[in-house]
Amino acid sequence: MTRFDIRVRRKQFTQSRIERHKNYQSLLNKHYEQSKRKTRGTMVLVFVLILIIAIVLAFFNESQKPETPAPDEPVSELKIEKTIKTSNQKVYRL
Amino acid sequence: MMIDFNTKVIETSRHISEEEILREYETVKKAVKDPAKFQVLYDRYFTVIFNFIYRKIDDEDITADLTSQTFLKALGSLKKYKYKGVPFSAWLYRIASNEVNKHYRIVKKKLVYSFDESEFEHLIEQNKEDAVEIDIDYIIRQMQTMCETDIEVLELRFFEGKSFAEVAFILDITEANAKMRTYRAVDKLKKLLERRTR
Repeated sequence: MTRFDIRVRRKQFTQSRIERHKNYQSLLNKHYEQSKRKTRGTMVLVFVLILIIAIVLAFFNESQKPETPAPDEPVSELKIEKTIKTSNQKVYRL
Repeated sequence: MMIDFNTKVIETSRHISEEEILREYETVKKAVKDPAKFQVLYDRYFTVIFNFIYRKIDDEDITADLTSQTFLKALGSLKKYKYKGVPFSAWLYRIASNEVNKHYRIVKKKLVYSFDESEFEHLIEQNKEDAVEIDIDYIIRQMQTMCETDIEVLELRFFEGKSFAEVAFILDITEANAKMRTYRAVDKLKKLLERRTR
């Protein structure tokens, strides 16, 4: 089975009938609309790209920072108090 | 049986001079800056492109849509147009052909080639002297057995009256390849039609 059909065209178009479909102004408007949409699309794409690059750079910078040493174990007030108390206590030796 | 395909080419030929091609290119360059200038080319080629698409679609409304789409695409990508020594219409034919193929991919229907009765009659006319009559239905049946690429070159060369350079540009092949394909297709059709006369 072929992928195409061959037919006899009995209907002949007159020039005026074809002219009916001609509308350059509408085509021009469509073109301007399309180019506006294209520009907007490009701008959004560029913005998204910049955003992605910024995020990636920020992440990269963060991972490149030298590791800061872990802070000393915080000494709780309770412990200090205990230490003071202990120092005030008399030492009894058996 | 003799089929004089060359006569047909001369009759339908709409070849334009080198100067005219260059003038068209100048218009294209102007239209890139000011799309309103494109109207000259739109007016010049609307009818031929409409007829070319109608040949493959056989529906007036869809043809009108696809013709408009073809010109819109052309206008949108004028910057990409490069001068290759062929008329601007060849580029429009290429876009139109792509639009038609895209349409058929969407609707998933069989591609249609509708030729004027007069075009078939021309073929029959040339074989009047033969004892065996060839009718349109017979030619259609024989053409139906050919492959799509053969029909495509026959259509462009003989029914659209395109030069080999234009056929090559539209089908995106070399000129030598376009010539070879055309001669092969003509040969095939001749042989198919000769069967009837034997």
